[in-house]
Amino acid sequence: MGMSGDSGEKLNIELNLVPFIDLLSSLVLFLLLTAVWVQVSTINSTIEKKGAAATSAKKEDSQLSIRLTPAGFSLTWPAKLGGFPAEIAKSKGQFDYPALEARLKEGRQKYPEVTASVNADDEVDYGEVIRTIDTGKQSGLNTVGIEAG
Amino acid sequence: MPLKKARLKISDYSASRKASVSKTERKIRMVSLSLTSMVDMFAILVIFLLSSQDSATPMLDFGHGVQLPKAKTAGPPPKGITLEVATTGVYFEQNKLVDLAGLKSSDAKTLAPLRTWLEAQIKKDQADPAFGRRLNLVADQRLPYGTVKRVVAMAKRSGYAELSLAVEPKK
Repeated sequence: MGMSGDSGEKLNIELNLVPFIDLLSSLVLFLLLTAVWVQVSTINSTIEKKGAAATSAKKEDSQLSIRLTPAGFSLTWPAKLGGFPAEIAKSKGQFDYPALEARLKEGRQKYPEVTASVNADDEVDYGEVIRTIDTGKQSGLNTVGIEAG
Repeated sequence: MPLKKARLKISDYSASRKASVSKTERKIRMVSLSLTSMVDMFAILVIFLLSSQDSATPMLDFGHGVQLPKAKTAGPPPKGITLEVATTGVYFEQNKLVDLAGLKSSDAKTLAPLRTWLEAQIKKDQADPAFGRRLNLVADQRLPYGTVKRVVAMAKRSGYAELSLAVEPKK
């Protein structure tokens, strides 16, 4: 861009943008390289010992145990909800998560203090265990632990 | 006639000179790049990339072809150490602690590196109260639960009480 001065000479006040572009392009490259493209979140869970519910009377009163087996879900309800149905069979070879969610919501309505622990047979995929914990949390259960051992 | 011709020549000369100058100017204008729009574009890109980098959320470092399970009720990962259970073995960063075959066996000698590592980490964590007794576990969704369960049981025996299970957020 040119501009006339007082003396009539043309003043060159054009900014030299090239170093600025160099800086910006190197910054863009650096940010692209360090950007996290895979978004990772976590589900918080407690580690429950196998059979811990049986050893603690307080836990036994409020803890629901969900077990994943090759046949489906097997639920052990706390004593107060002892009459609740305990088995949810697989539907078309897949774990029936909508049925589990409905059952958990129903249980929670009757007994809001209920907590859950999840365990599975060794051959069940880890992904199914996570989905079960997720379903438990979606149903409104405050604590969903994972049984180890 | 010749005089008239000469006059015409002078006027023709000045006109042609003007035309040649404007042509040169036009040429220069056409060659110079409009850098302002380029700077604008770069600036927008930099702002976008800077804003998408959330520095407050800790990053979970993992690799080894781990396929994360998906979950709807996930939150940001807490601060803590990350243990990775891949289809090839158990890793801490790039170090393989136990082979997957070794994890399946109940041989104490094979599992010793993992146990030693977990015990050393919990000692370190106890020194820093901000970490608590929480372990970030990144495990492949295709793994049989029995494999993950062994790692979780070992973590429990070492003193960890809470787990943060890495998942891919599902919308």
